[in-house]
Amino acid sequence: MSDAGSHPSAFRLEALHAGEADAEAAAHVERCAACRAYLDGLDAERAAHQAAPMPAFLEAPANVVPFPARRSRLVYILPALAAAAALALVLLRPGADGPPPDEIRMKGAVGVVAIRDRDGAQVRERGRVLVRPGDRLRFEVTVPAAKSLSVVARPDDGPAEVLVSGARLEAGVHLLEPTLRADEEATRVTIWVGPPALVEPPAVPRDGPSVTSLRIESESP
Amino acid sequence: MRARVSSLTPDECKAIWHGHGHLLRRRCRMILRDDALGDDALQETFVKLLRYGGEYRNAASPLRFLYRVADRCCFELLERRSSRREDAPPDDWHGFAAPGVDPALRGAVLGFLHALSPEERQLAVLVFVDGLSQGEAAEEIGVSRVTVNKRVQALRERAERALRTPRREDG
Ligand SMILES: [Zn+2]
Repeated sequence: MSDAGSHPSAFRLEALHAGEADAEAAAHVERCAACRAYLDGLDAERAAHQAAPMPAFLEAPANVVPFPARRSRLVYILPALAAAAALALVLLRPGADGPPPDEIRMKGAVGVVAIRDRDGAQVRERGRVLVRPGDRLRFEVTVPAAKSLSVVARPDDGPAEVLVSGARLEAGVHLLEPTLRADEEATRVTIWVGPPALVEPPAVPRDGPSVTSLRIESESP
Repeated sequence: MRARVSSLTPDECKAIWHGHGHLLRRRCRMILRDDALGDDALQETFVKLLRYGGEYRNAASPLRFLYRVADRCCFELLERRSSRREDAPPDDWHGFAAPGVDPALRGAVLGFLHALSPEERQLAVLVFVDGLSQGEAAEEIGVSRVTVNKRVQALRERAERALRTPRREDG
């Protein structure tokens, strides 16, 4: 902090390094070896960063859903799905723009689409998606009108896991994060999306006007 | 009630990645004290910028704008992680620090960041990571200086306590 000495704050040094004008900080750096050393360190990091390739999620066309370059440590599909914490939803496209026609099959119905990434090749599936070990999945939830929704994963042979509980979602297409990754185990799990009272335990969800599901299964060996 | 948001083009985001990516990566990794998790937050930061980053073009400080977005992504991940007890954060983040920053205090504060309220979290990062003065921090988060003063004092005391008694910092 600024009372810890006469050096500019870390933030001001970083802004200076990033090219933001700050005559006072620049003058200080001229005569302060410690601050110069910090800027030199940042310069070296930048040089290394700029020499590395642009990540795929920035190179890819806008329609490609980004997947973390590293293994997501947050969630695995079976048997470790139980490790999933409450997940957030990112609004991808506000409803005002109107979702693409195929996103909503039935007026008023919530839709869920799986995006399966297999070594960078992506497919979108609804209803049922087949996975093999290493595949990664993200989910898009389409909400025709603002409502509270839960997302629950129910493995065939394990306890239900609430991924999103009663999130108030605006109309539009939401990206469920983070990534699920299929592991070595046979995977049989159903993802349920609907009002909390209908999909969260102890309710046993079934497809209906306000509940929709997506089946995830291992490709047969 | 939400204002219309504008997005950034992929080319604009590439330019940000080129010029600021290393700063954002170091920040995310530091705040989350975990490289892989930090990189997830970094990617989410760019997803958010692509979708709603249009204000970047008019930001008084482009870096501050980017840090705000990155912080939000980090805090979201932090909240998800903090609900899982087995995933204790590692001891410290090993990076070099600006001369005005006390790395020990910064490490201690980051160690209990998950246990703070969203507003305290932001304040903690502004003061102990960015080294902002209390006046600057008050302006950035829009609360009074007196409030900031009290909260920073409490954070500092908590951090000093944590440094005196290693391990055992629970919410
Ligand atoms: Zn200095």
